[in-house]
Amino acid sequence: MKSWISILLLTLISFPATAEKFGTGADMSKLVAISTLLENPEDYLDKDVTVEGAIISVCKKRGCWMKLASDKKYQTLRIKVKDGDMVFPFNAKGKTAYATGKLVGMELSKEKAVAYLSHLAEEANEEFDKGSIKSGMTVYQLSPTGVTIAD
Amino acid sequence: MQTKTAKSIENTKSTNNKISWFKLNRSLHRDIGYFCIGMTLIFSISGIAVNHIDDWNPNYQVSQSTVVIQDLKQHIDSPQLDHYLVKELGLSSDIRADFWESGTRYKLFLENDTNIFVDFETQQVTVETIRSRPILKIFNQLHLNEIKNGWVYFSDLFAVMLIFLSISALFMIRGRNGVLGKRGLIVLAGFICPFLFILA
Repeated sequence: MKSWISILLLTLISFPATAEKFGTGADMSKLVAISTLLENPEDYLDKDVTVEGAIISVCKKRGCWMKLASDKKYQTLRIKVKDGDMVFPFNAKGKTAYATGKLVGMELSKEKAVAYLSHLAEEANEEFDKGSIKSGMTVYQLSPTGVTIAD
Repeated sequence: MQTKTAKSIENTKSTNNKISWFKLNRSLHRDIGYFCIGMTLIFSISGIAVNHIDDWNPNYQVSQSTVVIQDLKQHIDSPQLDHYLVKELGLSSDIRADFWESGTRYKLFLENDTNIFVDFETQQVTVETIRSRPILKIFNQLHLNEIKNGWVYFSDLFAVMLIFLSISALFMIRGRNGVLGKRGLIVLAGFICPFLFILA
């Protein structure tokens, strides 16, 4: 009886460890550096691309977004899914993620950009200087169909 | 006399063959109820956990502590910065990744799910440790339908069984001791309560 309980508990505990692939998983043949993508984002809109980067923050409530470090200093790219479509593990911070999907651009007025970026900073527990936004802007994020998190 | 006896036996047989809907309802309510115990516990425990998502992380135990390292600024350009931080903080895990958020804000991620956030301006270092809540995390995955696939249909079946349990409960006791008597008010209260929250 004891051994059965142990097996059951081990199975339950070890189950999430295999869940490193989300959706279809990343397509490594479409790899584009985040810096290249963000240098000319218009060229990549509506095209499937795969980005790679260390996970530097994850949504703590529903795991519905994560931020990847770019190959360029200080630069990041947000990977965002609809709540529940994929759930990125909160303890994946620092691991390397590959995400395949479409780059989405959001045109925001100055006020909306300040409100949106303040909200993102608050969610990620990061500092945000509202004064750094001087005008309206386009915010880019990747909407993935597949993600692979390397261990 | 013989004919009468034969008729009476026949009547008794037909009474015995009649399905007792009352008994069947009670048996089904009992057995489906037993089957639903596990699922009900999973959904209700996870329900409480997820209900308070604004106050705590139901899947992970996250702790943060902040310390000030007095001579931190001197190490901002050091190639040994990562090792310096790990040593100063008395940690021992391998480094997973690092990231400069800005010229003065730095993040260091360790293999044992410990993360270090450094602010060189204030010389404050925040150490975050993340530990999984294994059982609760699985309950939440099931509750929030993160497993997908067949689970969607199985949880639909569970919902149907709950509907059966609630309706069959109405027919558990006959007459005025059941819902046709005072106990009907309890049923009514169950319907009224949710609407009170909507009206409030």
